[in-house]
Amino acid sequence: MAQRPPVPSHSEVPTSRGDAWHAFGALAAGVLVYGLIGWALDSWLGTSFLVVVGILAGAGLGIFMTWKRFIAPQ
Amino acid sequence: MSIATSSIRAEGFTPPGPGDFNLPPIGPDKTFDWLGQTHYIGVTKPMLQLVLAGVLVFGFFYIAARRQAMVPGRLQFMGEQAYGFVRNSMGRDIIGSHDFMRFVPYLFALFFFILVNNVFATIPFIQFPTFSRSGMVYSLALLSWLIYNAVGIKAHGFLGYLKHQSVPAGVTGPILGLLIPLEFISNIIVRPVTLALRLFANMLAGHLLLILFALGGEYLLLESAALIKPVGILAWLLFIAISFLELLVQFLQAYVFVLLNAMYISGAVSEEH
Repeated sequence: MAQRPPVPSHSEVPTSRGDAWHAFGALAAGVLVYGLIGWALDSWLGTSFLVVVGILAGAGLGIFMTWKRFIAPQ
Repeated sequence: MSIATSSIRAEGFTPPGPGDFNLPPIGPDKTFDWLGQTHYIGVTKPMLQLVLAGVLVFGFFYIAARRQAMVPGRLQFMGEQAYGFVRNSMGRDIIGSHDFMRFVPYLFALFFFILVNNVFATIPFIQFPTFSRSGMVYSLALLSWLIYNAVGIKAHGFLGYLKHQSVPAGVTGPILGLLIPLEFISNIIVRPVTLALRLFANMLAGHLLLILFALGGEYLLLESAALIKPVGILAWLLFIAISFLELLVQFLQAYVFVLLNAMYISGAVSEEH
């Protein structure tokens, strides 16, 4: 087979800072982690709304992280 | 008889459920209790399918690669094309030509193993997708998790690797404190779980749909009023159509599983941020 020029890895290509699965993982992890924190705070303090606050905050943080990765200037 | 009174009685038909995927063991039906759960002793059909898939994949590629002629015959050409597909599109293009060869045996074996096991759902007399049993899928995901973490730790050192996986790209300042657990969970926990869940849910749901259309169509044809019987034929036509869709899904799920594996390995080894 003829020699090809070396192919840079998926993460070495300068324009790609990540892929769609990073965005999905960030959002899912945000909802899970901060929803869990919210639920734990709920059962500790006896309230019932903190889990929703946690889920929304986690989703917001996940979106912020995705924005920073893909859109914000380096 | 009006259509309303000739409608199907719900209690006559028991719809299929995930319990139908719990195949009984071949041979003596002995059970034992451990940790409060009842376990089977015995070999079940999915276990045999795993072994059969391994034998088939190894056998095919061994026979294809045996002669290693410079001008390949048909079988060797097919084997080379299959190997090249995984090695190029998933190994070299994702991991990079610098150190992708280490991982090609794993990706190659994984792709064809998953593909053959998925296609077992369509082959007559077997007709069971092995990866609709979640334990088998989570084992594969565990292996993949161990590999990409081990590779990353070897490349960056343990603390360096944790930093690599936990600090998100392009973020500085105090908000890092909120984002580090998020990024860590996203890279270390969510990835293997979604990898396994994707394959398992696709195989389970697809096969459940096929069972529903087949059994439902049979029930409609045999045990419903005459006006409703054509719906049974329609159910069977849909059964055939969805079988073709399932073939596509089987290939695609195997491809996506190995592609994501390669991407996780590439992300763990890479030198970015």
